[in-house]
Amino acid sequence: MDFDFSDEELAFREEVRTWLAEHVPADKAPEDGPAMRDYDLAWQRTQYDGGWAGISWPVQFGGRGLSTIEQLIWFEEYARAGAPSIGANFVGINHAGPTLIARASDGQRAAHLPPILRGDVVWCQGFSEPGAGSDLAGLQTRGEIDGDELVVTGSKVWTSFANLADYQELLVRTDRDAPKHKGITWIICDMRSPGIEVRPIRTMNRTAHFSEVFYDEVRIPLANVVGGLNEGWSVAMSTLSFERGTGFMADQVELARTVDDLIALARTTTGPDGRRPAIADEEVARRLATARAEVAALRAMTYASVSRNLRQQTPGPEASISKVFYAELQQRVGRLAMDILGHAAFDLVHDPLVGEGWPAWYLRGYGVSMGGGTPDIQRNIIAERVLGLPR
Amino acid sequence: MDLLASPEQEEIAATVAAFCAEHLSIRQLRSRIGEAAAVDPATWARLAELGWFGLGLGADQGGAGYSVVEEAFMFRELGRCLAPGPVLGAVLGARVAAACGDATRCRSILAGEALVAFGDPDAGAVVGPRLDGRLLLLDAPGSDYVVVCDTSGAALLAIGEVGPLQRLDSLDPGVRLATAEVSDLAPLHFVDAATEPVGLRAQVLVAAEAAGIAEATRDISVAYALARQQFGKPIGAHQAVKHRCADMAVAAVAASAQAFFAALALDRSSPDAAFQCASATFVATTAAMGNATRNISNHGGLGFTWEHDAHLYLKRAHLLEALLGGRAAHLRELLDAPGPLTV
Repeated sequence: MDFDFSDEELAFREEVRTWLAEHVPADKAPEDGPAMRDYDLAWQRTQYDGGWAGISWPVQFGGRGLSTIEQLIWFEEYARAGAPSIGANFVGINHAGPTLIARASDGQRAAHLPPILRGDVVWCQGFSEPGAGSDLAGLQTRGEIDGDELVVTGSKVWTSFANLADYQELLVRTDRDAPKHKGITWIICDMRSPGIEVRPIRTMNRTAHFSEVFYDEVRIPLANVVGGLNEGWSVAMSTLSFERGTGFMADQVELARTVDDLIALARTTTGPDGRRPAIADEEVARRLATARAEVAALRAMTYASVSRNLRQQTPGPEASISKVFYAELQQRVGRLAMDILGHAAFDLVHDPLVGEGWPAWYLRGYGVSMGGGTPDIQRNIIAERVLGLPR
Repeated sequence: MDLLASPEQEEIAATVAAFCAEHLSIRQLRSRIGEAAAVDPATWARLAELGWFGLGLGADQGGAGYSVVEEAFMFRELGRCLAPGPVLGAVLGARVAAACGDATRCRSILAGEALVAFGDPDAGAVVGPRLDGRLLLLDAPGSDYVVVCDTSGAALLAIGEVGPLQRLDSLDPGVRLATAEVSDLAPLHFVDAATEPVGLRAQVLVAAEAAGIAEATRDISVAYALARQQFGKPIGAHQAVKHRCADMAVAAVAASAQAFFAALALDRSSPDAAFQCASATFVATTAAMGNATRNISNHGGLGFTWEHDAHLYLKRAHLLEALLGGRAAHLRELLDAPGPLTV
C-alpha cells in the first residue's frame, strides 16, 4: 500500500496540466441540440489533434493506451482544469468504442473507431425499452433475418443523444425461442436508415438528452452484427462492466471540484439569516463539511478500485459500491446547493456562458443516479455478487 | 500508487485477527465484565511480546519499524472483534514518550509493564504544555499513565497527576470509563503537533477501528440474512434486508478506503493530511454507527437482547464517534483544511 507516483507519472501529470491549461475551451457547452453536438465534437477533435483522444483505448486502435493510473491522473487534471464533460461523445468513447475494440471484426473497427476518435460522429445506445429497463434481457425489439439484412421493428427508450447521433449500438431479439439471454444480437445501426423515428424526451431539468426511438422495418446489413448472431448479451455486458468500472471515474473526480465550488458559493451567497454568508450558518457549514469528507472517501474508493483494476484488469461488481455511494452523494450535494441558493434556486438560469447552473445540475442528479442501472439494481448486484446473498 | 494491502500487511492483519479470535474475543470481553482490568496481565504481556504497541515506532525506539498504515491494519482488526484493552493508549503513549526522548518510559510501555489510559479531552479542555479541563478516561484502572491529545499536540501524564477518578457505569461494557479533572497541570511530556502529529494518528487509528466495526457488523448481518429463514426463504432474499446489507457494504468500503487513504497521507506528511484524517474519522465513525444500527434492525428482536453481540458493536461505535472532539470537531476541521484540490 502506497500513494507514491513514479517520476514518469508525475511528469505525465505536468504534461496533462500544461496541455489542458492551453486548450480547454473558454466558452461553456450549450445545453442540448445541434449546438451541443458541434461543441462536443469540436472539443473531441481538439483532444484528438493533441493526441489525447481515447485515453483508455489501446494504441493499436488509435487510442492513447494509458494505464488506469494515468487515466485517473488525466481525469483529476481534467476536473481541476474545468474541462467540458464528455457530453455527446460519451457512448462513442466509453461504450460503443470499447465494445467494438473488444468484440468487432477488423473491418468494423477500421470503419468506426477512427471517426469516433476524431470527433466526426456521435453514437447512441439502444438498449432499454419501455418493457425492459432493469430487466434488460427481457427486451422485445425484433430483428428478422431477410437475405443479408436484419429487419428491425420495435422501440427503444432512454436513448441519450439519439437526436444527435450518427450510429447506434442496438440490441435486438433475433431468436424468440431461445432463453432470454441467448436470443439477443448487438448490431451497429445507422441512425439515418429509413424507418427510424426519434422523439426526444424532455426531462425534469428541461433538456432533451434522451429520446424514444421507433423502428419500423428498419433494414440493417447483417455485416453490422458485432460478436455474432445471438451473442449480443455477452457483447453488451462487456460494455456495462466498463460503464460500472472506470466509466464513472471522471464524474467521481469532478464531484470533488463541484463541492469546493459550492463552498466558494456559500462564502459569497447571503445565508438564511439575511446578513452573513451562507457558510456562517451552522447547518450549511456542517453539510458542506460532510460532503467534503464523503467526496474524500469517494476518491479513496476510486483509488482503491484503480488499484484493484491494475491487479485484476476487468472491473468487478465492487464498482457498484462506488456507484451507489456516488449517486447518493451527488444528490445530497445538489440538494445542499438548492438550500444555499435560497430564493435564487427558483430561477433556472441557463446562461451558456456559466453552464447549466446549480438548480439544473441538482435536477439532473435524479437522472444521473439511474444511469447504468438504478441504485436499487446496484444494491441487488452488491448483495448478490459481492455479499453472496440469495437472488 | 497502490491502495491494496501488501502481502506483509495482509499477514499483520491476519496475525492480529488470529490472536484476537483466541485471546481478545467478545467471549473474553463478556467474561471480564465486572473485572477491574479489561485484559488479564498474562494476555497483555503476550501483546507486548508480539510487538503490537510499537508496530509503528522505529527500531531505534524499540519498535517494529512499520508505519501508521500497519497500525491502521491492526486497529481495523481490533475493531472487528471489539478487542478489549488500552491498546490505543499504549500505542500513542509510547509515541509521545519516544518523541520526547524518554526512552525508559517508552520501553516500559512497549514491554507492557506500564499501562496507558487514553484521556479524551472534553470540549473546552486545553491540551498544551499546561493541561486544563475535564477528561474521559478509557481503561484507567490499573494504568500508570494517561495520554491526552488533540490536533494541537499530545501530553503524557502520570495517572496520579489527574484528579480523583469518577468511575462511570460504562455504557460500553468492554471499556472501563471514568472522568477526571486536571487543572493547570504540567504533564510529564508534551509534544506539539507540528513535531509529532499524535492527534492525527489518533484520528486514523480510531477511524480504522471504526471501519473494523462497520465491516464486522456487515459480515454478521450477511451471515444472519443467509441463515435465518422466514416465509420459506432466507431473509437475505428479501430486498428490504438485502438492500440494507448492500448499504452496509457501501458504508464499510467507504470507511476502510478513507481510513487507509488518511494513514498514507499522514505517513507521507501530505499537505492535506489533516483534511484526510478528519475525513477518515468522520466517515468511518458514521459508518460504524450506521452499520451497528442496521445490524440490530436485521436481527429483529434478537438484536435487542443482551445475549447477542449487536449492542456491543453499537456501544463501541458510540464511544468512537464521541472521541477526539466528535463529529462537530471533525467537521470544523474539514471545512477549512486544505483539501486535495487546493494543495
